Amino acid sequence: MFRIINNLKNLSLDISPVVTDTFNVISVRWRRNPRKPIWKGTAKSKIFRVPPRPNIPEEERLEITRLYNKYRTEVKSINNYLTSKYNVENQQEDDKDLKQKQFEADLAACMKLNDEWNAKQKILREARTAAELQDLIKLAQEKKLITLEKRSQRLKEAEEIVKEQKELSKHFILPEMLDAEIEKSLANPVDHNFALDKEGNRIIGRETRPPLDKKVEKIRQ
Amino acid sequence: MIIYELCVLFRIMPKTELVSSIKRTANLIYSKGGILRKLDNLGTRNTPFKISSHGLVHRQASYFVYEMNVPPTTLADINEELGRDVDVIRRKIFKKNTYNEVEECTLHEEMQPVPYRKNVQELLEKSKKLHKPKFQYGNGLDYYPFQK
Repeated sequence: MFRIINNLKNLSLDISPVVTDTFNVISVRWRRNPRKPIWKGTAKSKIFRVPPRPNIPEEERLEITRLYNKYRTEVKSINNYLTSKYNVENQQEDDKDLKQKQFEADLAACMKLNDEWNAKQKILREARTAAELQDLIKLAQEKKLITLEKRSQRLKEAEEIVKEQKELSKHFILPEMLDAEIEKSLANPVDHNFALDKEGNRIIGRETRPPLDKKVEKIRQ
Repeated sequence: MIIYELCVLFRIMPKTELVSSIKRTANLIYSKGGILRKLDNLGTRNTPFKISSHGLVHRQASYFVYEMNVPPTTLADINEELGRDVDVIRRKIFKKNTYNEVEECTLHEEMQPVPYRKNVQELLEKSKKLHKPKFQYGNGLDYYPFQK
């Protein structure tokens, strides 16, 4: 690579001295052969290394700034000059009245078309919203009916429960009849146990013998 | 209004003492703002195992069931107060099943294989609604268009 560039330099030196600058503008892809690739990132040991700040003398800095400012101004002026010179729009003579007229005619056409569309849409929209409203009203009425039905049903159920409980409450044990109830319960022990035989007969009682006892209840088949 | 069943095992004692114990328990229910619906005597019988309570070992007990309505917040209080009663060997409060909660069934229905039972069939029907539409092959696409 170096050799080729050197050769080029040697060649070009003969033709024009300007080309010598190319020597300084080589892109460096590999610094030396065993260097690790650029995508491997920073080495672990170098992560926290702070590179020293570039130490540029004050005079030098001022000079660089001045040169760069000058360069920027010049490039900008050239750019502006070329733009104003070769721009297509700038070539034509502006007819402001004609442009305005064209714009207004276009606008009027657009507005007319838009108004037509709007009128059409308005008819469609009104029909649709009216239909939707009717649907909604119908739905609401149906819902209302269902709700009323449910409410009355629930009230009926609740009243049934209350009625049942009222009927049952006649047999509740009140404090004044507690003594009598205790006596009654002690005198009559109950037995909720039962057995089933093969025919599905329910034999009530814990120690009841099937053939001896009459408390045999035919279970529903 | 929830119906509770309070099952109490009283220790073996003379009748007068037993009556007073039963009355004490009933009064406890009244004092908590409860209603006593029914009092069942299940008799005096052997306990299934020996039970120690309040420093005594019991092999027999008098079984009683109180059917009552009490505010659910007082259940813990009732349980705790009965725990301090020396005549009470064991106590437990159950929620009573209302008869509507028990559905009638026949043995034949119960003996069927699981997928043929009525309630399982209902569950299957319910779960069918949750299934999303599945991609069918043979609609012009010979590959599965979504991520597998």
